[in-house]
Amino acid sequence: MDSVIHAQQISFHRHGERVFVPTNVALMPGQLCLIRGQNGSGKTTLLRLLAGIVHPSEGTIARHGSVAFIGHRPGVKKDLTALDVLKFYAEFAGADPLYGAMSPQAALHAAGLARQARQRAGQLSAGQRQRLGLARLLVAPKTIWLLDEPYTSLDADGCAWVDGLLDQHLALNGSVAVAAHVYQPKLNAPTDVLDVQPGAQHA
Amino acid sequence: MTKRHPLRALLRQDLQRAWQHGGQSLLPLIFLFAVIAMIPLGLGPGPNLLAMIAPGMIWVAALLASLLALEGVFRPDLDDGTLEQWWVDDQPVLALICIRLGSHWLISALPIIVATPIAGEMLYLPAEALGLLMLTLLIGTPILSLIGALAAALTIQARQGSALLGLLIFPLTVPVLIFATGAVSAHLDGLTARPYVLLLISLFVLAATLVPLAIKKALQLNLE
Repeated sequence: MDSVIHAQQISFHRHGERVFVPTNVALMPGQLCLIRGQNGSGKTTLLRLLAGIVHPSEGTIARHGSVAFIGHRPGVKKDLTALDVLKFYAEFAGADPLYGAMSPQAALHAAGLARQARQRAGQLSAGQRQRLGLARLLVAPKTIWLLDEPYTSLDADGCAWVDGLLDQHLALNGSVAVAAHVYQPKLNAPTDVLDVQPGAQHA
Repeated sequence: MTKRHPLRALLRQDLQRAWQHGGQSLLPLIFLFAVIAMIPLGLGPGPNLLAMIAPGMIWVAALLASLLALEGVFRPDLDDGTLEQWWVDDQPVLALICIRLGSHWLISALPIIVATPIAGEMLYLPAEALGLLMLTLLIGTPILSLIGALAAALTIQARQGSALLGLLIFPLTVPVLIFATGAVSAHLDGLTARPYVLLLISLFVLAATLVPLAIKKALQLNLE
């Protein structure tokens, strides 16, 4: 099978310096790629490159499949209710026909936020907001999931829920790249580890 | 299997949020009528004087209302991480920018245009000038939205963004104000307003073709 993301020797320059050492990424269907690295090593930048939000300063990226990106700011409007946030994403991003989309209500239930449906996202705790952000993956499923520190602010239950989501997605031949520096996902699926090295000074 | 409709979704969300922040959405109107109620107090209620300055006053109110709403045009989306979603999964970024510009206009300018007949009446604006004034607002306020949104996109990460915004925008809006009020006063003086209106239209066409591209580039630079 062909890779869904194939990146060759990509890097990004900021202020004339490489953010990280040029990296190859080959993400296969049904594979999880765990992106590791110290703070500031460029994990976030690498994910944003893979998502297409920023363009690589060197190297090439080829994507085959729909992409969902959840950054460290979960993309949740604080003045909307939890339900409206998911309704918006269901319409805005749409669902890849390869995967079954959940209704916003069902996704809230799955995220453990059923009782918070009518609460404004600004009133939710950081962990609940993170769950809400991740619930987007259920209402608007995509082939390639790019998740930046999805375990941030989550409790043990929440981490297990995310692990379950990942396992389910990988079992359906989806692909996931996760940046995580503390929590290690506990999954059944094969995990590939990519260590991001901070760019050399004056590259 | 839901098909995606990003433009519809964004427009609906923008209007829904404006509706929820009822007070904030009424701000342009409150602004307009505050200005109109204050002017006669300061200048004296002479009908001739008020009629002369009415188009200018209404235009200044429209300009300030447009400026007031600019803070919310891109920055909140950058801060909460929704803006970067526009660049994920081949979304039509340029069209999304145009939708956002459209909702800025709907929220900040349309209420003023709709209220212009009442405001004109309060300022003794001659009835024959009303239609033309509304026409210039209709063509000119989208230019204000375009220029303002470009400045907002450029200053999105600046700390003193709003002060900078004003400085950037005011000089650029001068031609719009001159041609719009010029059209109305030419008409009242018995001359033709046509050249002014055509100039306004060409300004609009110029801004509408170039500005969305520039906004896209500016936002992209700020996402890096």
